Amino acid sequence: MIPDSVPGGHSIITVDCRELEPPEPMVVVLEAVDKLQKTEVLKMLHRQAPRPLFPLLEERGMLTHLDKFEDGSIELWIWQEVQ
Amino acid sequence: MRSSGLSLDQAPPEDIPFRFFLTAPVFGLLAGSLILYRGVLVFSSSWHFETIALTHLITLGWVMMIMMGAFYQLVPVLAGGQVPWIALSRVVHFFMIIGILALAGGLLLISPLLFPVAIAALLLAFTVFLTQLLTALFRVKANRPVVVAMRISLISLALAVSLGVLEIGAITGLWPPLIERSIVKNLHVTLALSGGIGGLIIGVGFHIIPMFYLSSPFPEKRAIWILRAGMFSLAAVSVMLLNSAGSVLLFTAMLPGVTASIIFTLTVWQMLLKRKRKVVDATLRFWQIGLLAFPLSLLCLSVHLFWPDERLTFAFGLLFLMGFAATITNGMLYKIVPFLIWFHRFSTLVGKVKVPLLKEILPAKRTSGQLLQAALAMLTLLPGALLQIDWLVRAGAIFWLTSSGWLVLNLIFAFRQKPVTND
Repeated sequence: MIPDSVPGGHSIITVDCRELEPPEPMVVVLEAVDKLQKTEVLKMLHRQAPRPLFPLLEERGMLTHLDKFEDGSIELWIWQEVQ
Repeated sequence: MRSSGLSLDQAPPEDIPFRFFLTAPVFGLLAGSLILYRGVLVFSSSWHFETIALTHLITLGWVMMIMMGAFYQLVPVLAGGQVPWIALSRVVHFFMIIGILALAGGLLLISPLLFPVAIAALLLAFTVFLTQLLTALFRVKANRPVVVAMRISLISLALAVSLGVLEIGAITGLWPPLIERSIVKNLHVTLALSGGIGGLIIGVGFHIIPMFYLSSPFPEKRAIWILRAGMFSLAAVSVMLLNSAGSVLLFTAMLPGVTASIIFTLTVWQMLLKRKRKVVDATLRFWQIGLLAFPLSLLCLSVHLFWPDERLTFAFGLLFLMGFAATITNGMLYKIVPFLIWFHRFSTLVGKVKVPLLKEILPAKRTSGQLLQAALAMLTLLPGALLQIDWLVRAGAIFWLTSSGWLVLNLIFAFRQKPVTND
């Protein structure tokens, strides 16, 4: 389910990093972020919160929303700010 | 940017963890040189000054150096805490070096002038370090197992350092002994090794194993139980030691903590066996050697309670410090250092240029060579100390020296990796 804070009407690109070794999740996500259109939102699936990724996303001017689950896994939603 | 309460760029500058990490194997070289020079004599009595010097070259020089670097680096990443006054970490590093050298020098040269220097430098370094880290960790609201384990580790270290300083002051006549020396020594060792070193390795293990080895998560309820049992034993053993309790009572007090340690070991072993990527590398082997040495060290300690043979003390010390603590911290360096190099120097270049993989920053053939030397050091030092065979101990020292030197070179190799510029 798309969280309320994530803009609606965007197409969702899912990146599953649950079986990737560090730093591959960051590489995969950052490469996907660089190609992300204003009409798209990226959904990252991972085993845990990727803390080192956040400053890099901030540097790229991205907005995020993080959902954590009981088993420690996360869904991180990433999108561009629409001016 | 919204990040559900996650704080942003809190990672310390790269030179801070790196200076601690690189210093550790240099102290390893000093420890190896001392064993090579004195041979089996360093394993004749745990009260000998040179044995105490050797122990502290490893505990403070190797293990604590890596632990401090890891605390500065991992508290923001694993606990989400912000370490205050981060620039002071460089002062901590400087005074740790002065303090350890003065302590080891004072013990080896029996120089009364060096002990006050050791006390002042170590007190200053630990006071700043503990204030920084305890402030960071008590500001973190979440009581997740890793946060609790780190707090246990820091509080145990604070008590262990205080007892250590009391002891140095007492043996050098700076002040009168407050309690019997053997009680201070046993309390100091219990708090430093079980609470300080064990607490951090176990706490970090909860997170690092799933993160770097792609295993299932450490079961949270089991982690909480392990920490509670460990805390209970730490407190119970301390009370027993203060009351000069007998072997049966001490063993009873130790039992929950020993059981918790064995459950931790078995759980991590299973997690590693069932990891999603079946890659076998040096870091995995370092963890496995450490996980074998840990319960064996506890077995030696337990047997020693009922059969107080000094050789068992050395077997415990070698298995716990070199086999478990130094081995696991060594293995973790090979995961953490390439990751930090990648993060600080290459992560901003993703999508712009081809960035290296971790195994390119520190190739496997470099780490596996050092692993072999570290394993041979254990396999020779342990029987050498137990059977009091001088040439075996000296051979072990050579393997340990080679291993430490190799680790220095490997770390320097990794630190020299930088993005290629096209100008």
